[in-house]
Amino acid sequence: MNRKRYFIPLFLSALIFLLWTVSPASAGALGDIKSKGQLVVSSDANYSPQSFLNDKGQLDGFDIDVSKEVAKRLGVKVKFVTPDWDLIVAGKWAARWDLSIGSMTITRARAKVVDFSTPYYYTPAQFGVHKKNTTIKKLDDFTGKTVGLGSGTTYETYLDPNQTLSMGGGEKIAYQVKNVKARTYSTDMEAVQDLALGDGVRVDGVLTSGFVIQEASKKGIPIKSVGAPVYYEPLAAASDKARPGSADLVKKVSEIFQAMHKDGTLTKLSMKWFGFEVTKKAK
Amino acid sequence: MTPTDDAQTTAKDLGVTEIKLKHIEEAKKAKKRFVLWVALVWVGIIAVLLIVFNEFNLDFKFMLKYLPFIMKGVGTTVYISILSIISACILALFGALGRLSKNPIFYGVATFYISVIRGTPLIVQIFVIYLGLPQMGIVISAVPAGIIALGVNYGAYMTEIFRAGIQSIGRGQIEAAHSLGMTYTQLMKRVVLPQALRLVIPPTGNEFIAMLKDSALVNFLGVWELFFRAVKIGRQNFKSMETLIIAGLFYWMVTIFFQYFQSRLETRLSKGTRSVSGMTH
Repeated sequence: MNRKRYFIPLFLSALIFLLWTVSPASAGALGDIKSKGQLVVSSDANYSPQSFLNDKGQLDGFDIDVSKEVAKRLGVKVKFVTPDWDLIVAGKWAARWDLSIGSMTITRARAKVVDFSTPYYYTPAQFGVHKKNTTIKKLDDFTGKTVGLGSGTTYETYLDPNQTLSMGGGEKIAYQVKNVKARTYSTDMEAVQDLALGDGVRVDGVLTSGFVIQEASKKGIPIKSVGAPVYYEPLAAASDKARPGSADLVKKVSEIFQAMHKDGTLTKLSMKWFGFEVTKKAK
Repeated sequence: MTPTDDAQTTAKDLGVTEIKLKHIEEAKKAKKRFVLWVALVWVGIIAVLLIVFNEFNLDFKFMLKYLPFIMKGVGTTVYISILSIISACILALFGALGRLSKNPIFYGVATFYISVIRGTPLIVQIFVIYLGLPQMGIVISAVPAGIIALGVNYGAYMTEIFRAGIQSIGRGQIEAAHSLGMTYTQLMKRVVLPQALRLVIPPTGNEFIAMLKDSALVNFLGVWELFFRAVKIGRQNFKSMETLIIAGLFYWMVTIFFQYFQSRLETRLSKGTRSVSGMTH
């Protein structure tokens, strides 16, 4: 029998087995960040003014400035990565990045895979329609209509009859619309662009952040808001629950956020990017 | 006056070489006419497309502004594709050897690999490799994960190309090598692979051109290649169509560039075959 023949498969199986059992040692998330001297933040660069590419092609926006400030207060440098939103909210980041400071809404479902910090700002969930629309004037008028929204967003959960949206604080959300058909896009931005094609061409309206509607309107998209915001989302930093020391990391980030709320840093950044106060809880 | 007389005089007048020259000249003219017509058809289609695109209400000022930023993705797209095609070639070579192997383990591994990879979507493989490897303790960032996924995927398809190349080598040559006492490795290295390579290169070029465009799928992992840049700029400005058209044009241009090299390589390789066959006849 030729022994050499079986060497390669045996060797490969041994290698795979080895890789399986050896997992990297870790000093906890916070310790790792400090020893590397670098905080890696994931950002979903699809939304202006939160996170977008500026004229120089660099990441810029409210979330980016907040991330830089958090890194500064941790005493480390900051680095950004831009994975798809679905990869960020799914957890299991394998320490490829340390923190999401990307306007993530605190929800119960997400809290199963990520640890949340305290909120750093709040965004209104807002229905919008085409500027030329005359039939939808209040939230009730959306009954039986098709509304576009982004995949993996709280808006999707809100309109899904089989799910109840529940924010981190446990506050119940009062439903003001019934029988609305949701049409899911890869992000909110595709929904808004489809609405721009014309009133009712593909969708009758959109459900997105009030800031998106504002920004779209500013950039010449024929869109207007309908009704008051249906709920306010608390947005927070998140850390991968599967990572050792994740809870300590978000605790530290929460402390930094509280200090930033107190000393007016967040308000200053809010004025810089939104032109008004978004970091205080509404209502 | 007989027709044979007539033929004889023309043959005398022109001479055999002149008749040949006339034929070549006519063929050249016909070729020129053909090329001219093809160019006209292309220009016509482009003109029609421009009219159609004009109907899209594109914001050309916006497109010009972000053209340089999107163009920077060309380098990333090309280098990811080059590294991926290299890994695909290595995998395809082993895949083909396994596919032709009489050892049940090698044959089993190779056929399973081909079956699974060809039977599942590339986008699924990209996510499984990106999310799955860390579960085994191998944490790689987006670019290498994308390269591995593209390499593994194309490797499976290209296994069949490599197998055909290897099988094209005549039985006689292999028997001759065996009778000279060559081992399997020597036979592959010295006889089969150098000849198979000639047949394998043109379809591999074709796969590379397909890969240039499939590499757009790694944008989901956050790689700043052509498609990623176009999508991000398009979304935040609510002008996705404009930026996607820019990306499309760049993909097209890169493809034309590599297609030119592929066709030149193909002509060169086929020239080699002709002269070899000419010698044996």
